[in-house]
Amino acid sequence: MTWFPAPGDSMEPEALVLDRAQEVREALAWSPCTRLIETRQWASGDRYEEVLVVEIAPELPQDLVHDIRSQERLALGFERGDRRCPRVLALRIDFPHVPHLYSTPTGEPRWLCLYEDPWAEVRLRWSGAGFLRDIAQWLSRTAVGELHGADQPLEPFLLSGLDVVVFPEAVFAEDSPPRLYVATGVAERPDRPVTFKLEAADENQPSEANRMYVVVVVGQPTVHGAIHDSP
Amino acid sequence: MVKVKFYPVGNGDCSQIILANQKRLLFDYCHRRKAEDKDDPRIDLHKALSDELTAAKRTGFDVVALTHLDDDHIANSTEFFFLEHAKKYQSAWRKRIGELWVPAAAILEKGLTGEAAVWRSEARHRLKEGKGIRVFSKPSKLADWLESEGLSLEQRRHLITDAGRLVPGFTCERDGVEFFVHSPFAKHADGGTVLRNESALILHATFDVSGRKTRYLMVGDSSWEILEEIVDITRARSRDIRLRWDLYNVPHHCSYLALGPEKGKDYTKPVANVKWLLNQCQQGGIAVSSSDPIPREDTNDPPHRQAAATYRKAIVDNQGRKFAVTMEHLSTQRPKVLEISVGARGVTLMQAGAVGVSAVTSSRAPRAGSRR
Repeated sequence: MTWFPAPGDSMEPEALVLDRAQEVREALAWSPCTRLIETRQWASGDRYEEVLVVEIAPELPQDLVHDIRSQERLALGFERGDRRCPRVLALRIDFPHVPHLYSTPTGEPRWLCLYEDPWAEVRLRWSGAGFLRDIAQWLSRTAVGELHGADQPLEPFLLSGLDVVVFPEAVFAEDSPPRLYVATGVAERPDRPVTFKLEAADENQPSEANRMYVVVVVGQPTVHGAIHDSP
Repeated sequence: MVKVKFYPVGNGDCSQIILANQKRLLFDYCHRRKAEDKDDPRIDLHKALSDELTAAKRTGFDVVALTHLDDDHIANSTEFFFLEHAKKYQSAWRKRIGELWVPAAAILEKGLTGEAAVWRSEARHRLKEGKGIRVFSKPSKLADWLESEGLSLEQRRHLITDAGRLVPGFTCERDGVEFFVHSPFAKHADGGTVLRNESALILHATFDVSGRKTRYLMVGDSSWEILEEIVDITRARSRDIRLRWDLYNVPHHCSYLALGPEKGKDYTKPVANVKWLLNQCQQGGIAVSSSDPIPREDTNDPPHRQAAATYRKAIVDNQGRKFAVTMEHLSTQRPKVLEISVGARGVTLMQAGAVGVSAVTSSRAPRAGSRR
């Protein structure tokens, strides 16, 4: 089996300084279906991350939907400042492309998306042991194709853009003629995602606004998920 | 969902099948008094099973199968079950047995003492009464014994099942399971001396969950010679499917003698038929050794590390899931009941709670996928 290299340089487990990394290290010491392989760290400018490379044995039946293995090697990254959820990277080179992964550049490990709730909420109930359990559950439920709740919205194709566009229903009509639309952008708070509402406009009316083009692509049905590799 | 539970009783056996219709079948019962000590890693089986039955609002088991009468399969069992043959075993708290399954040897064996003798009395009583028992194989000695009791084999034939037959009373359609009998053969109890391990019960269960067949080979304290014979006979009758397994109860607490005649240095070389049998492991299959932890050094008594190496190799070679050991499950200091669920996707070794069990503050499982 071949692995992506884990980020950073090797360090002693006892030298971890970030609280959440320490908490996971303690949980790994007694959690029977997990194993700490090594600890690493890296720094760049103001950023500092500690990484625990672990193996987790998820609960798996015989008949799998996705190729999740009895032991999965993962890198758990904890960044100083606690501004975002700890990263969970699957280090197996051929880890499958499955729903609920963050979009990552080509040649980088798959990045597991663990939580539907924002980190600001998750962090209030987060624990090291619970984090390991959540990863194990992510792997188990992914293996049998049951991670995505039936009542959950489909995953966005691209995660980089947070803005939303509201299309008029007529756009999707089969006999819809090419039309020019103007977008009205609304943001509830500064720097928050903007919701654009499209409305038909007069083609001949001069406008200084940026032009947007709507393209409808009809493809084959496929399992939803983020784009395989970020452009 | 069907559950198969293996209890960490040390070098001994006790497992239970709980069917979707809540029928419970217990296979062997090995309770060591010392296991009642909280410092002993083995389970307090008496308490664990009592608690389970209480929680399920049950007074007993639909079936209790004693694969043979060795102490490590019946230890202190006569202090747990309600026995029909004598008042002294009939306190109200004792656990009832709907049907007792025993090999014919359990009725015929002579010179028994202690608990083995008690179970022989119980089996004989039930057979004479003509209810609450199933006897496996009908050696000529059994007919002789029935005659000595004023009964004929014909009168009790409906309570006797031979090797090569399905056990009456369980069907895939009604119960989601059927049991095929591999052993004992009649000849095993017809010799001058009854050899318990040779005449022990060996069954093959086929579970049907939503059309998915999952197969469980339940081998007791068998030897490689017996397994060779079973493979020969079963294959000669084109019943290979009755040897296919998704779950395998490793014989005799991981003894090398269930694989071949030589222990080997680091690996026990299985005889040809046993090797073939191990290769009937299906993808994702699990082998369970009901034994002490696998030692690092050489030992006279099982479990033998060389035998464990052979089972592990079989699992790897056949893309099985795991070779599991009851006294190693999740912890060697305090092993947990090894629970296998059997569902529409085959067998799963349950580890729920094993990861992050006690420090979790969130009561609901999180949902993946960023809402942003």
